[in-house]
Amino acid sequence: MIRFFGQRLFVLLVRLVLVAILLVIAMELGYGVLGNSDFHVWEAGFADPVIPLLELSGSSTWDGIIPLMKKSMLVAGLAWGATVLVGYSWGILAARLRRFKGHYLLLVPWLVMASVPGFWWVIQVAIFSYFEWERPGFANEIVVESGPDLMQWWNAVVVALPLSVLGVSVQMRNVSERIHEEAGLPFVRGLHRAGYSEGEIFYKNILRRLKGALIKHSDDTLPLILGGLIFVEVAFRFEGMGSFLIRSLQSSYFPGIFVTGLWMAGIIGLAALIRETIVHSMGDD
Amino acid sequence: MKNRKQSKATRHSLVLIARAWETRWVILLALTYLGSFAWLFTAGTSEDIRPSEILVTPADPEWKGPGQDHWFGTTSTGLDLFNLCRISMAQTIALAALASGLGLGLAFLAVMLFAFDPGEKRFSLMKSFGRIGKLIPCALILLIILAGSGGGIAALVATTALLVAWHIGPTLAVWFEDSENRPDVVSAYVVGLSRSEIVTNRVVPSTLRKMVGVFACLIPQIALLEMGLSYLGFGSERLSIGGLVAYGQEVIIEAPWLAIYPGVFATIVLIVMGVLGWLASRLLKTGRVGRFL
Repeated sequence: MIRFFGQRLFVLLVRLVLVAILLVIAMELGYGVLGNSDFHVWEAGFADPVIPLLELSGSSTWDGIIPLMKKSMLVAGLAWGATVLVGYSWGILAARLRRFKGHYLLLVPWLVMASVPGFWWVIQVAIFSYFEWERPGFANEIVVESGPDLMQWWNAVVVALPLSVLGVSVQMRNVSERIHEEAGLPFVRGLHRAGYSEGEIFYKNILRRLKGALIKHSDDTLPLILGGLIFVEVAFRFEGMGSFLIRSLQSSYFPGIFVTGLWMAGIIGLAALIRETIVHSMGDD
Repeated sequence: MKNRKQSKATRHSLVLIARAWETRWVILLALTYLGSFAWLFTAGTSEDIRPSEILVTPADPEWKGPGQDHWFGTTSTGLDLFNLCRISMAQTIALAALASGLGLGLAFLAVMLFAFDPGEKRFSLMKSFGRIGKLIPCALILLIILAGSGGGIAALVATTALLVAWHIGPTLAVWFEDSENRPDVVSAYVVGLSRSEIVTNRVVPSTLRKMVGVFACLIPQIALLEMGLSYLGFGSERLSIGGLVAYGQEVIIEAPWLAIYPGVFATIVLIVMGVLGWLASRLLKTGRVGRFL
């Protein structure tokens, strides 16, 4: 087990190095080659004051990035948690009802909601919040001066909601279609002929066989959620890593872009490492 | 006695009709798809619709709220917002179709480079490269390239196409591998057909059919991404729903319809495209293709 973990950790580190190289190439290609900038990636230094952080966290040193990371982790965690909970349960339900022709209707609401541009949805919530509840519409309009800051949770939930809808629509389809594939195998017909009930076949055979395969889908949506985070954070004026990235892009601040890219890759890679370890411990590689 | 043998033309027409009947749902879907494209692309105006000209607030704005003359209201320069939404959505969909088509073409070419190799691990390099891509959101790469280059159409299409190829390539490789285990392909090997004949005549056609389904699914995803990029201000000098919403956010108190209706329009178009894409991929039995954008 430890050997497996060490091996996967090594693979992850190699991949992170490749991602770092890829980020450097993308920045040089975008700014240096296509943008004709005289300033190159290798000329950037981490020791200079971090100007894009100044407006977001009030600090021009790298310490100021910690609160932004915490805020974005909260949003990503909420979105991913909701994605896993709802995506799996809804996907399994859709697969369980596969014998009914209308079971696709279960997938339709999420497909429809996933078509809503997340940045636009967040603005609508902000407008509604401002006009109907007379609350600050955007996340940077802080009103809590004493007591528990429940506003930060509300803000995080609003930002996480469009991301989780997008994630659920993908997760649910992955889960449902994977179960469908399994349910089409000959052993299922055999069990039917042997007199097993539909419930027994589904829960005690199909799902039990698929445990590992379904866990493998648990982090499928993380790149999607973290990519979407960039757009919805800016729309809601939520001060997190997405907003930091956009400010870094606008001011051509390469260390900021690099750190944000590696932060995202690190989270996705870590989730993959945990998932691989769990699946391995179940003996279901 | 009447000659009952059908002429060559009649026989061919009957075969054509039978094939059309077999693929009636695909044809119907394609027609609906093309119909919705045509509706979007017939929108036009003689006015200057560059964002720098219309997404500004003059001292005496001419905006009007939604009404019978203008369903979605007008912009500060008096232009019909519904018509602008149609024009910008047509541009977005055209860019998405172009990027999606180019990306799939690139992925197919990359897979074909290895497809004729009989080795079992012929696609392993491509799959390893694809796994690195899963560690980083595609939107991030696109943002870096567009922010640096100024957000031109060529940079957007080329980068999106490369990202599509990077992510779809391994899936195409798996389709190739799966196709080679099909009974008809195994029989073809037993009969003694050459590898190049089998790949060209049996494996490639079934893969190409599935790619049509992927193409239809990718269009709404890329369109959504393009709108997001324009919203963030990386859309260069082209009209987009994202740009309209971003401007609407600035004048949210004076003209809230500018922040509301373009999003409603985009959502409806994306739902139609998404459902059509989903149906197309189901009909063509495309299978699972991860949403990566």
